[in-house]
Amino acid sequence: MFLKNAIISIVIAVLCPILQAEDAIDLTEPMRQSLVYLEVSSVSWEQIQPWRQSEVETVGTYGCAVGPNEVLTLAAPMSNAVSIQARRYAQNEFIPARIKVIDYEYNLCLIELDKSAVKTELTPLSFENKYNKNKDLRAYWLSSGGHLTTGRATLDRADVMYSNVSFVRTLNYVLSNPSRGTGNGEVYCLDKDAIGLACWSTETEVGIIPAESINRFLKQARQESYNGFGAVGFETSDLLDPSVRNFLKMPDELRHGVYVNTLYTMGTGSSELRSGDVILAINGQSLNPYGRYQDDRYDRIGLENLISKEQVGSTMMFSLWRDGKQEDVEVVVRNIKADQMLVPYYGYDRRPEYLVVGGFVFQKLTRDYMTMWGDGWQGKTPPHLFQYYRSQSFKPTEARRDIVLLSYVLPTEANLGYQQLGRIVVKSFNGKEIGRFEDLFDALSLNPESPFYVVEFELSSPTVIIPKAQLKETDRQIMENYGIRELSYRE
Amino acid sequence: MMQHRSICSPCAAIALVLLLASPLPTVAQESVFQDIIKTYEKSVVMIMAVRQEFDYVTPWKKRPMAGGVGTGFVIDGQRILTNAHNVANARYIEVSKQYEATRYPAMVEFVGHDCDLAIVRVMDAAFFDDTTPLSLGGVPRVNSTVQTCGFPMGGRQLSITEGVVSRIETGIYSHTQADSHVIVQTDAAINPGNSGGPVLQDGKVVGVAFQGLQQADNIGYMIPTTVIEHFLKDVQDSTYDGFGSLGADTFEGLHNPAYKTYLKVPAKVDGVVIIEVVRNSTAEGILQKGDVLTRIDTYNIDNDGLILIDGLRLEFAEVIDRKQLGETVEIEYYRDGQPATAPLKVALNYPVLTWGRQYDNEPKYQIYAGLTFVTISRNYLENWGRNWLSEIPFTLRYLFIHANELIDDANRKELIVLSEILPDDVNAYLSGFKNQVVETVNGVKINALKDLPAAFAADKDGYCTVKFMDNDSPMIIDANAAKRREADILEKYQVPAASN
Repeated sequence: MFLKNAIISIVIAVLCPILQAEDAIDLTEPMRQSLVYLEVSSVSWEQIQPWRQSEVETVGTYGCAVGPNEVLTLAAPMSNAVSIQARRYAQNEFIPARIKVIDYEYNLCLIELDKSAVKTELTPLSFENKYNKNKDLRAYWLSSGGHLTTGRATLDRADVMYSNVSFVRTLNYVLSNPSRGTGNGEVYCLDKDAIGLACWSTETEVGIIPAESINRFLKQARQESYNGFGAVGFETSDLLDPSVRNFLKMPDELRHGVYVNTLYTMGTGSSELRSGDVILAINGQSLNPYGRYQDDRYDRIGLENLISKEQVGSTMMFSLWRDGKQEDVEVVVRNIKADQMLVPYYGYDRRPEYLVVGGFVFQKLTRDYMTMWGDGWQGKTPPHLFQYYRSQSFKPTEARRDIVLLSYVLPTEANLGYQQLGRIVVKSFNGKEIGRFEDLFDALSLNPESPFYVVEFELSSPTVIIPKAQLKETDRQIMENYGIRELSYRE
Repeated sequence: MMQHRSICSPCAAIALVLLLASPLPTVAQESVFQDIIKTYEKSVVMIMAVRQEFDYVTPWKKRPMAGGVGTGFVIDGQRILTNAHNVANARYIEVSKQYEATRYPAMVEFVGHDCDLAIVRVMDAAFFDDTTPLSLGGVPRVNSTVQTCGFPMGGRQLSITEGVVSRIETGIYSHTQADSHVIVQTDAAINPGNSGGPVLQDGKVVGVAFQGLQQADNIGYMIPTTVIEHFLKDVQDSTYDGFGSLGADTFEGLHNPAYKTYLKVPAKVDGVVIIEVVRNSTAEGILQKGDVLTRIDTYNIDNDGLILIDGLRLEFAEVIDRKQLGETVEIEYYRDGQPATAPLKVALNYPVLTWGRQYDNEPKYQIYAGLTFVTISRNYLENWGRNWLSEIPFTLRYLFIHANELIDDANRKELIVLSEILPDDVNAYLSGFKNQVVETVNGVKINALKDLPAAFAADKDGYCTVKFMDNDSPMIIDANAAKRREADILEKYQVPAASN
């Protein structure tokens, strides 16, 4: 037995140097002056008590130099950052850093190191646009212990996918058989060239943000203002059923195109397209019935890739099948800002707005708020709230920019009888329709002669009556009792 | 009978417990109890039923069979009273008596699922030869002793347990999961199999044992005689109509003086606020949102929504519960500071999507192009399993909870869902529409399942267009292919007809 194992070991030992010599170029040495370890401390705000900061969280992540004092890393770990410290190879002291540009949709962040603390300049990496399927890639990162660490994986495919921090689908390369879990900004290289940053990983796969996205981000980040890239402003459904094609009077030779199901009020195409259109092609790229096109480099890939690489403000040409005939429509590229959504997808780097009056806690409905219901929150949140998230998030209107809710009631004598109310949507306050959070503040001063504030809600909820007499005293007690420093916060 | 009555006083009842527990019981009192048992041991019967639930997704099929054992008891008119849940969806029923091997086939004569009561008839009149009908007593007092008789698990002979009445209040009847009436709680052991058995006090039935709390010790519930009498009176005309409801939702928030002032209700007047009126209910046109309901018949409603009735604090709906459908209650309410009274007709007042579980009610279906359409019910939604409420598709959850507020069309009688697709060439691309709720077919609004055939027949240019709730994509069906394929689809999936 021992002898057999020994033989196998010898065989492996002999083989390994041969394989390595043929296959891989080791960049450990040159990477030393390019990679950094980042320690990020972040503080966010509680959803249930929006006046209260959550505990400080500190996480480690990886970055790489893209300028003498500039480091590229993922956006996700930088959310709500209050302190960023960088550490370099073979140096013990931390270098303070700050965020220069952050794009949660691309999941990329450019940070700048404090020049005065940088002794020797970093060696910038340049990312090369390479996509060689089935090639082995090497990963490099500077670990928390200061070691230059490596891993490997095989380049398998390209796809558009959601990052774990945003609602926009962008291009990722998917690597298979990773030697270890990487997904925190490790640099993946093909031969001697950096080609992407790792952004997610599972047991069997790793996703990387490819060079083309990185370079596009960096180019814009170095311009005067950063406007971001296109986000899709509509939803599609597949157009496979021949009955539907016939119903739409599409000629037999038109076998491609995807059906436009729902339109948003924000994002690319939202004001130019109509529900019921069939998108035949975008910028000359023909779409199949699933909404994918044949990319020169990536094979079939989702139409999101065409839109998410365009700069905001540029234009694209959509070929449509509309009302029984073909039509070309020019579409302006737009992005979607989370804070402008009817139900914001995320509230990174922002304090939640709130108003406490007479113990009634009013807040904006956000996705972060709903995630308080924990695992499986989609099935547990009150359905009237979830309905706004599910089908109205991307459809704010001039009249309705926020969903304002009574979150719950801080019990006090003045709100007797109402103390079990909560998770209900405000319709009007003192008679004023509430279409955005700031309306609440305007509404407070309405009907000055009335002894009450009157709040009406959607669906069948009771009217809330808040007596104005002794309100100041009530609010003072609430602040004291429940440890609230300020009764409201607005941006 | 006089002798029995004498131990009805609470003191005597407590004494009975003490005496039974003492090692040297008084002969006289023990014999009273033995007399009761002897008189009625043949009248408390075991009911065995083979049940089979309907399939609410594909209604032409039936679910697997299951057997169950419960208890019933003989009442006047050669009838057996038991729980509805003992005989719900029963395909075959058998009744047997203590110390007798004969099994007597039986059938359900009346069933009230909303109050969990049923009357079973035994075909062979000889069954009643040695039985003595039990008679109904009143509502027992809290802390008085009661005996539970029945056939609980763990043996085949009649079991008798004793305990006291712990409390009396309005509570949920778990059979439908949605109805609530008065319940009497007792610590007399009530176990599976006891269901439908009489709870006796002083030789009279004061309740029908029907449910217990699983996670608690010694919390069992019985249906009081007020509910039983309502049921028996209801079936006197040979049909069971059920219990009525107010037809409006109320909010118990008038503890707040500012709210009272705002609604212009005098400070000394208590009541509950109307926050929603059920569409097509008898309350529609009488009550409206913001009214304050202060009195029902002669009973003043307090800020918790309770009334004092027969010395008990019960929900005000008890007054409606004691009336038959078609009778009226007088309600007093405040609107704009003015009190007003109105007669309110007692009616079922079901909303468009009822919360209660249904039984013995064969679900209807309609098939078109292999697409199976059914009416949404709780039974249909429970197909998603234990955690159905969080696992059903979102639109169904939204509707289940808020249908009355979301459906503002008074003509809408049912909500129709595409429950199953029987795969075929004609529907090969339609799987994405499963479990969605139908809005229109060929532009025709679908207010009930029966609207579907005519709507599908009105295809345009050879296509049927179905629009679903909360979905901007229409479903397009080739109408000619649908007609061509219908017989084959029904044959392939063993469906007896395109509708029932």
